Amino acid sequence: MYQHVLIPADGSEHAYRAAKHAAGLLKAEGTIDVVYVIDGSKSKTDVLHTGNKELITKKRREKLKNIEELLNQQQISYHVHFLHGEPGPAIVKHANANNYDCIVMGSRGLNNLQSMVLGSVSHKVAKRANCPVMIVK
Amino acid sequence: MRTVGDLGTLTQSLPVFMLPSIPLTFETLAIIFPYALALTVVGQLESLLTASIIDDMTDTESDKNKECRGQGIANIVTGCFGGMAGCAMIGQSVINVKSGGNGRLSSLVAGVALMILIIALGGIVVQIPMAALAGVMIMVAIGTFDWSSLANIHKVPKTDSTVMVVTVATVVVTHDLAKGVLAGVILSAIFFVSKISKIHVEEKLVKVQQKKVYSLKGQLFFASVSDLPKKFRYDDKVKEVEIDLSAAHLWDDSAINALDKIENKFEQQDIKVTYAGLNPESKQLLNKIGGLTKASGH
Repeated sequence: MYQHVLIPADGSEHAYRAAKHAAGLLKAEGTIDVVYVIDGSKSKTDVLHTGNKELITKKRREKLKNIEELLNQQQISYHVHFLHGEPGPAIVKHANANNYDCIVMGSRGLNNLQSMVLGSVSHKVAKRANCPVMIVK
Repeated sequence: MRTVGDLGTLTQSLPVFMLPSIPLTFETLAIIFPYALALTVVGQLESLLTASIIDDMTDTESDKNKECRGQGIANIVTGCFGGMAGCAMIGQSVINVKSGGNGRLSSLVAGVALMILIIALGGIVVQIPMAALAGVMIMVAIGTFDWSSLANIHKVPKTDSTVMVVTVATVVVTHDLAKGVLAGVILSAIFFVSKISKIHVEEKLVKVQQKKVYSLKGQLFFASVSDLPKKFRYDDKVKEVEIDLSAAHLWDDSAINALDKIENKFEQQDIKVTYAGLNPESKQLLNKIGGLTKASGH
């Protein structure tokens, strides 16, 4: 049972399953941090397609809606963070700076091309994070 | 084999500062101005777009006014050195930030590297085959293109896709980015007007009071009111008509005019017209110019 758990999410089905497991692993009064990493090309397409800053934030928040609903349902206190940069290193940096008890993440996310080789983000995080990492299939 | 050197001479001397030696007449201005305007619009647009993207990537705010001012001053000074105008580029800036170039040093390094490339390594640069350059350009094109816009073309509204296709087609045909942007802007403006100029009219009969309520929904302005009077029925057997404007906004003269016209037509049938739910701005406008057309005997 963990006190402080990190879920890297990208709006994919895998991330949602990870969130379910994270909720199960949590102590009664524990908290969850949900992070969503925006990389350069995502920034570019979001700004080009949406333009408006508030709208972009809203749309990104919508991607995490199903996870937020799940956590609300189970009455777990959580925070959402938006990080900018390459997903792997950004998650590792955030995780190591904030002393989480555990990271729970999907084996792969939305990026199908990269995951054909391996779930590159989960691989990087598992290798470099200082805390236990649980990869949910 | 064609090389970069065949394209033209690479001047390896440093430019000197001087005011361009051109006749300062209206004719010169007439030649330069259209190009200057086109360059400014395109350059400013791309710079601002780049700034927004970099703001999002780094999660910081940039001062867009400062950005525009800087670009303007820099381009004027560059002209005095006989150089070309420039602006921020999305592709290069994204690569720059991704590679960790977050500060001012990174743009200085880019400039210095280019200078070294031309002044010290000019002899090597001219030997680069055109084929290699073409390959690089194709990769740049692939990297710059926003591929997801193609994937989403059937998802986004048809008008948006039309604007995109027309803009790209104009650029390809005329070889002029400014014309493409202009065509796109005009087309979006037209689409916007046609979208916003749909007024929804709902009618409801209140039998007890022999009154009919028309609820208007939308923006009332010159482009939208032309067939508004046709949406009312003037031969109803009622004593009073109420026009509910709580979901509408009056914007100009033509809107008031149209309402006056409708009021007139009803009054010819001895039907009294009242307005309800005007928002403050619309009310002010109606008070200011409403009834004028009626008084002048239309």
